[in-house]
Amino acid sequence: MTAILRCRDDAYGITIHETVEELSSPKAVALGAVYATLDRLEDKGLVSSWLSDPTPERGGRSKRHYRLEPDGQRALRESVIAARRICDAVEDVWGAAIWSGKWKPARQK
Amino acid sequence: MIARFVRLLVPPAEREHVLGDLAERYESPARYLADALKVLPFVVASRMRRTVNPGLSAFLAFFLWFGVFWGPQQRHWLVAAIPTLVGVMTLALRDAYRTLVPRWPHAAAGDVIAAAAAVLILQGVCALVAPGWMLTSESLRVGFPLGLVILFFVRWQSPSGIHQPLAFSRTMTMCELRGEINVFEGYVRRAIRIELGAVIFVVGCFTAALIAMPPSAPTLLKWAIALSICGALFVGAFLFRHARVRPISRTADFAATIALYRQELERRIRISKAYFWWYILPLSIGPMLLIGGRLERVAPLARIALAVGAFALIASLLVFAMRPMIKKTQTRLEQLASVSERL
Repeated sequence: MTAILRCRDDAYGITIHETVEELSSPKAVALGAVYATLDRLEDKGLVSSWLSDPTPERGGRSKRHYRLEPDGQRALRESVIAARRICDAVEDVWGAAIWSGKWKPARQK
Repeated sequence: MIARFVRLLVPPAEREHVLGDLAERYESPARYLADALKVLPFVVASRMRRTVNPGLSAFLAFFLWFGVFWGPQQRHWLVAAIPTLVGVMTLALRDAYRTLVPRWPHAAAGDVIAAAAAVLILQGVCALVAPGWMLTSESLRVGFPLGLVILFFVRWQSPSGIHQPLAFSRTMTMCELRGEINVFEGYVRRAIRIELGAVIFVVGCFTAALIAMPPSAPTLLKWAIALSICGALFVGAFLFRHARVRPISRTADFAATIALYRQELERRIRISKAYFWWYILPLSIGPMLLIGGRLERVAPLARIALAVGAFALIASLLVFAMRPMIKKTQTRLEQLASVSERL
């Protein structure tokens, strides 16, 4: 959903996949997994989709565009708030060092 | 040629955008094929998740194992379980690869032919490699063709493989609303017609069987057939009297049409929720006696327990299979509460 939000009016399979890979770097994400997730989000009513006009660079095929629905926007906001709480909790214990490359796991006693 | 091969493998409903995305990523034929093969399992699995009704599939699996391949009469339960799995998987794939506007009698016939072909190929392989895993010739000669006829009616009556994401439009034109109502009414009419046809078929066949039965036939069998006839007649009468479509007046304005449509949807939900009482129970008593009668080698108490257990299993599967439809109708009912007219 973050990727759809970020792609704005150009959210379709390829751009969403590229954004998801960028956000989840260094982990790779399969394009097929993006399709499956988009289908599930659509079934839950969090996003909606429509087919655009066919374009020659896609072999005369249409793009399936996605947009966030109000329920999706609410769910994304809740996830962001939850993620921030998790970040704050971890930062409380480990300090701001977790955001730098110098962070190392604590040794077991 | 690679593109044509990939096109065949992608389910029709996903074809347009998936093939477009693959074309956009095209660098070389090998990369295209690798991309397609990586994407395909996700696309097919997602399509199957959307189109397969788990309750109905479990019911079909039970029906194929018990009623078509006669599982209890095979040497081992797995002998019937493997063709059952092949049959159910074939039907699930048929759902996933359903065309966008299927013609239901043709689609149902295609489903049955595909499932039968898959099972026959499996039997052919078994005959060559492991003859011990073949179904008995009696189940292939009698149960298989009869079961396929019933399977055709089940697939025709309960079309699966259609998936429509929830509609979100808060405004509709009168024309769009009428179009939706026409589709809904047509769907219900078609379902009731098929069900009434099946009632006439069952009553006719079972009455003929009862008349042709020799006097020495087991009393339990006669009762089972008589109760099946009564059950089918009850279902037919219920459908005719209570479940027929009440057409919505074409002269009503937008607000009145929405109100009448919502009333009809509410009535449909009530009928679907009472499905166990007016459909499953009346239709199950006769077959339950038949199942009990067929288990001759089992002690009487265990026989009753098995028949009741089989009934409970089938009933819960059918009720479970009905849930997605009720949920979908409920969602539409709630959405319609906030729809306004777009001029």
